[in-house]
Amino acid sequence: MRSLLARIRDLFRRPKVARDFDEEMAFHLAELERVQLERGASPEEARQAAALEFGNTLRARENVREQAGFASWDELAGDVKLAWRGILRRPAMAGSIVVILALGLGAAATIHGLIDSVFLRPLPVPDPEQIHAITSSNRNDSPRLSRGTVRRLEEFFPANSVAAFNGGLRCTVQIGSGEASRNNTRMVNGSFFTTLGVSAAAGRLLAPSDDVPGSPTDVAVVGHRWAVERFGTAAAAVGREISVNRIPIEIVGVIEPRFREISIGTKTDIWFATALQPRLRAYGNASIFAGDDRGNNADWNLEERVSWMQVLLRKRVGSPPLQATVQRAWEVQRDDMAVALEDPREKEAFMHRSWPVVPAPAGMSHFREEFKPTGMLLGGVVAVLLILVCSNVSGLLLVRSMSRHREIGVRLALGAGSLRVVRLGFLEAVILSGLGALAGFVLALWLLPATVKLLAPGQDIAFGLGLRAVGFMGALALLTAVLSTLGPGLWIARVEPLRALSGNRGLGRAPVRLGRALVVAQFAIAVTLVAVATALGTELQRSLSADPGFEREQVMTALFDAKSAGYKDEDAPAVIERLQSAAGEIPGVSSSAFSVSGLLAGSQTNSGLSFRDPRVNVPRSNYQHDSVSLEYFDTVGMHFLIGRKFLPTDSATTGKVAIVNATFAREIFRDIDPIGQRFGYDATPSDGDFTVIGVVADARMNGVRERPPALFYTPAAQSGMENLSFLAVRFNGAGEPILANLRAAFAKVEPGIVFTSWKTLEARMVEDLSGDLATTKLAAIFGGCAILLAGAGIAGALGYLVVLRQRELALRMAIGAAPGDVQRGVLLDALRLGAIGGGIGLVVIWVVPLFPVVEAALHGRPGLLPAFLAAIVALVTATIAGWIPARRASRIDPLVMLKAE
Amino acid sequence: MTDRSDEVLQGTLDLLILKTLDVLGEQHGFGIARRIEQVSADVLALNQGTLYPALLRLSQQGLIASAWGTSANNRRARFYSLTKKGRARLADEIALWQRVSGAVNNIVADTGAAG
Repeated sequence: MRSLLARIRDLFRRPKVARDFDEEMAFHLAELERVQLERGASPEEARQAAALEFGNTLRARENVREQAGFASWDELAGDVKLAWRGILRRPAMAGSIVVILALGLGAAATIHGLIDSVFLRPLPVPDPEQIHAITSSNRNDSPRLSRGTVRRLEEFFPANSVAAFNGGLRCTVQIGSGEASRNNTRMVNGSFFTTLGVSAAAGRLLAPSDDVPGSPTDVAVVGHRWAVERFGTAAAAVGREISVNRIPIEIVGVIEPRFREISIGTKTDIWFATALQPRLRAYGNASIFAGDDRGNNADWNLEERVSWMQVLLRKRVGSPPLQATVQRAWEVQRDDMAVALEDPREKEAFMHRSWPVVPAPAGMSHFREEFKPTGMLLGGVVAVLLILVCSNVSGLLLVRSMSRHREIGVRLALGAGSLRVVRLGFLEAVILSGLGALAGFVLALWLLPATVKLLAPGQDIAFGLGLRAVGFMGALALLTAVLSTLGPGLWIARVEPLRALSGNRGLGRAPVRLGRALVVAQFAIAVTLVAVATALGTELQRSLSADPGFEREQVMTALFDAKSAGYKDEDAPAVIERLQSAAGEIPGVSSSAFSVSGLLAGSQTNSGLSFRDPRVNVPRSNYQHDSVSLEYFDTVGMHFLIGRKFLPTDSATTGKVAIVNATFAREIFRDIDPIGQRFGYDATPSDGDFTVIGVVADARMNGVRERPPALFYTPAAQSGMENLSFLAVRFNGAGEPILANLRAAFAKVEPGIVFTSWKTLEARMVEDLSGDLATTKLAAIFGGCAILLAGAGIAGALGYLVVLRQRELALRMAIGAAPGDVQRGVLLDALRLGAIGGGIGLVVIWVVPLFPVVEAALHGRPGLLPAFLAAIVALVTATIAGWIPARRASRIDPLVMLKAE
Repeated sequence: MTDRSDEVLQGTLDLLILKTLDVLGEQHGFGIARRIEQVSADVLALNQGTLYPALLRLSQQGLIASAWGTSANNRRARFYSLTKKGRARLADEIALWQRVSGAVNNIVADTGAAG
């Protein structure tokens, strides 16, 4: 170790070492001479004898120099210089290699940056590796617990170990007398911020004293961005009073800017303590267990049967075992709920529920799951792109090495090991890919924001290229260099110096075969990409043009929440009445209607049902439910199949009725007549049971791509008007004037209610597919890049094949082949390669979707038609790309060529 | 410096240098070479230039130290001396040499009588 350090030290002061040696040597020689002179030799003899005794001075000095450094280091430095000079000698080729690499590496860095920010980046809090999440053993359930269970967790764990939060809440927010807006908010427990270790940019954050059930303080903390947007600075926001759902709330602090959310993709502006839940009248985003034995407390902080809190735990020194402690906190809630369970099987399953605790340094996110297929698809496309880049660069480097065969021959003949010559090529590749990586990084810096915007519109994602991205790029560049040097390296290893010196490439068939393989591979990849991109596009088109089960163009929709505007439940019928008559007065409006969940509005309600007819089939335990006003089906254009629609006579005082959709009827009643069937929420028949009066056709209400759920509708007049939050207006003519008129009319009759998300149903469909649209766009862009690359690579490689065959072609022409024959021969060769590549591409397209992951990402298998089209494209490309080299081949002057031998 | 015999010589040269410095104390390169030739009665005629890479290597290993001084006839010369570590190494090297040379001697002197 010490000697290594000494060597390195001497390496840096090598000039001094050499000077010292020169002086020592001079002294030594002088001494030798002196001895000779003393023995009586003449000065001339003395000098000669001294030199003889000392030996080769040059050699000695070289050995000292070498000892003072690293021989291989020296050699390497020399080679780097040599490689750099080699690159500069052919700037055009070096330039095109750098551009190709920049394209491939830039795309890779962009997608890596995206995947990194969505999946890998930890929360911006101290020691994120200590953060764990409580998850649900049942994948379909969100892992929600009661506030009581959270309170017990707070007791069992050390202070500041439990961060609990609800699933979010949309509130109506007004600052002073300004315009009201709808904002995302979250309710969190008192130790939420202290557990995570988030600090305040101004004022203070929430504390346990703000979170006392029954006596909450009316305070909130706000996100930094929102504070700056609304009040100019963070400090200016502190102490301000805002109205949230008509309740005056004081802003006591602003969160530090780097912390935005625990969940990626969500944008939350305002944070409250959970104790405020009944004051804010926040009754959404919860699993509500309604037992027959008693009603639920309206203050969810005191109700074990309402699960509305998700939990992150911080594992501190001295924390009890996470999993067992969570289970212990859950047991009280479990037992309280189990009392009301009647079905023994259901009870058994319920008693066995568990709550696995998993590390969650990146927080939790629903968006992450959603993004997975997109991320994987794009990752795949980029991997393919990189393979193309490698084979392309490899081809170019091969051509480069071949054109330097004479130089390489000279080097080999002069005794450079073939390894050293290969290393020279590798160094060139490393330098080039380093430059390419640099350019690609700059490209990615510019591409990433645009990509995030395109792929995750409206999602709040912190992104950027950090150290990890730099490392990733470095590794990729190195890998590219290694892979692209493999081919040329193999070639160099086969060069025979003497034959190369004589100008004869004499390499046998190996490089030709290699070149052909490269061309075929690029064709296959290009065909696959074209097929996948077109498949994505056509599938999307199909989804959009398929009948969604409702009228899409002439229906304007919006979301609203009367409760957060300060209305009581009993005010609801009058509010709905006012809105409906205001809409009815606008010319062009033919009808208007309301529902709770609506169509493609991101909201749904599910309930367990019991059926009274013993013959029915009960394939599932949960059924989707929507409550609708009169004329809803006609307004949104749903097709009515059998029975009757809801009538004004279906009121709170008459028997409860329901209309089921076709899927519901098919799954439950099968061949039994659904009309007159009865079902209810209770296990045994009761007065609250519904009677089926009609069947309506399926509509894709949760998502354009999702299969319609089994769903039942009830009249809002019977199930309550207070939760109606989806407005649908049927109109004739153009949408814009109707929209303006509706907004004006509603602002006049209900100024306190904020209507958001004004869209036609058509726009909702497009929005629902926007993620897929973006994926498709991106896949198409990358696919386009790949095809361009493949085209360039194919042309290059074909040109290279012609160069390799020059002698053969010249010979043929010398013995009488016409230039046309040669041209045709080369072109046919290109076509054959294109056909083989296209064929492999077809096989790949047929095989790849057999993997479930790919199938999920593509939403089905790509059709064979696009694949065939792609194969034809490949053939056309082959023809065009083969044309230039073919012409060049036919212009070879046989005499000149053969004379070069 | 590519073939094996060179390595063997190198190992021996190190031993010779260390031993010479042990006996002479501080000495310059010429003095070391001279001494080795004299003591070995000119059997080991050094190619004296090869001494210097070995001296540099030994200093890098911390076995010898060097300092510039003045020679007997008043010229500037570099003087080498054994370090503590070098002295320890010398003991090891001598023991090793004696073992190896003894073994080699035995083989060379083997008449086939034993065994």
